[in-house]
Amino acid sequence: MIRELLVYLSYPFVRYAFIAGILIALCSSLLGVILVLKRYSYIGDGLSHVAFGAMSVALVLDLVKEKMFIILPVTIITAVLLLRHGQNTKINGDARIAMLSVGSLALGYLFMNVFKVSSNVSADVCTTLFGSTSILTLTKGEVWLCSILSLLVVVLFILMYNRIFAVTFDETFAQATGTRTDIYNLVLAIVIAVIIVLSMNLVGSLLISALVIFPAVTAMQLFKSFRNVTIASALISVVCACCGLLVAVFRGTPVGSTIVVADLVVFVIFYIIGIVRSR
Amino acid sequence: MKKLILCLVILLMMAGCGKKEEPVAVDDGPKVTVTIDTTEPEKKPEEEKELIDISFMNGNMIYSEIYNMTVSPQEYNGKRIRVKGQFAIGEDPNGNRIFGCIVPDALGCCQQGLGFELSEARKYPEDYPSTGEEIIIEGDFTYTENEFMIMIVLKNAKMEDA
Repeated sequence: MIRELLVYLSYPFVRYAFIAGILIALCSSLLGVILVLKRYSYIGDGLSHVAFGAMSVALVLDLVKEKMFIILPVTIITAVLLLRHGQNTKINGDARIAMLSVGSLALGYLFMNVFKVSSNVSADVCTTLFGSTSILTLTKGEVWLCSILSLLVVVLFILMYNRIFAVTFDETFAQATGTRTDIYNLVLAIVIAVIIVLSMNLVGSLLISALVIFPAVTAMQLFKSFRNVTIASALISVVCACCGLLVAVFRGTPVGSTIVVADLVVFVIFYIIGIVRSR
Repeated sequence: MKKLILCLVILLMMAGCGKKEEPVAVDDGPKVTVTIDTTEPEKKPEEEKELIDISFMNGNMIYSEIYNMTVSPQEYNGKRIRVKGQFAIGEDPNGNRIFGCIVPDALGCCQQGLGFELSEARKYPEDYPSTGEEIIIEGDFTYTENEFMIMIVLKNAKMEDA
């Protein structure tokens, strides 16, 4: 099996998939802990659909190779608007996310159908939504972009760990003690958007929430402190991404759903261990 | 401070990945005189071509690599491709019959295809498989590009049953 894996790894597109897959899994798990604790679990879903809409526009404009330069700014702006407007609007948080999510999904699909850029619309939609092969079709430039953005996310997370911790658990208290919560929320919004866009390549836009939520919730079954949960979440996410990718490469299953199933299996195992331990 | 050091370590590790290996000085030992024949060897174009063999892979992987060929065809120029897929027949815009190899992905909703031109003369339909039958094609990568799509054709190709 190792010999076979080495043969597969001699192909650039397989190497790119593993590099990008591991980095994306690591970043999404770091973000997942914050989002789950802040009760923003579903923002990933909404933003991924916005990214899908932006990707449709990029495809319609025939900017396949440059699509990241359209998707990334649109998603970042949406994330900032979603988090900044807070509660002071007529439409509350979850309704706003739901409207954006469904609206973008519908618009994206409509664009791809009305302005047909390829003869195989269903294939384009299928790949983007479920990530059946997106991670296996990355260009060298996309892998570099993914690596640089992932590194930035990890460095930001390490440097701002204490502030993020404070803003995540009690934003009002953090504000009262002089922490500029608005700035940290802005940084958080940008980081969320970046990770969502990157994750689209790995699991597709419909399965992004799984990549963000599963590792964090799984880690919470056995660990209690923020630090331990974050470390365990990162490990679980990377291991599941690797297992999912290996199964997909060897067995020919869709990459995105295989990774999510690996996450689901690990969650069930941790959940059972958690119940047994608490007795 | 600890965090700053940790970030610097990560950056250094990243930089380390791209570091070129320096030549290491070693003891030369006894000197040996080597005569290099500078006359060019007889060219065998077919043997010189790099072979990209994806025929042993599953449908999903083959699908992805053919997709990569359509996105960056210039990277495959001058290479020989060996691929497994389903035999298909189609027509080019001028109404000429073209033979192809179709590869569906894991979900079955997406397909990638490439055409091929056999090096040996074969009669149609006697010497060809039926549509949908699994075949392995090996041929020289070429492509044509028009307003709508990039068409890959494997020239000087050999066809085998999968």
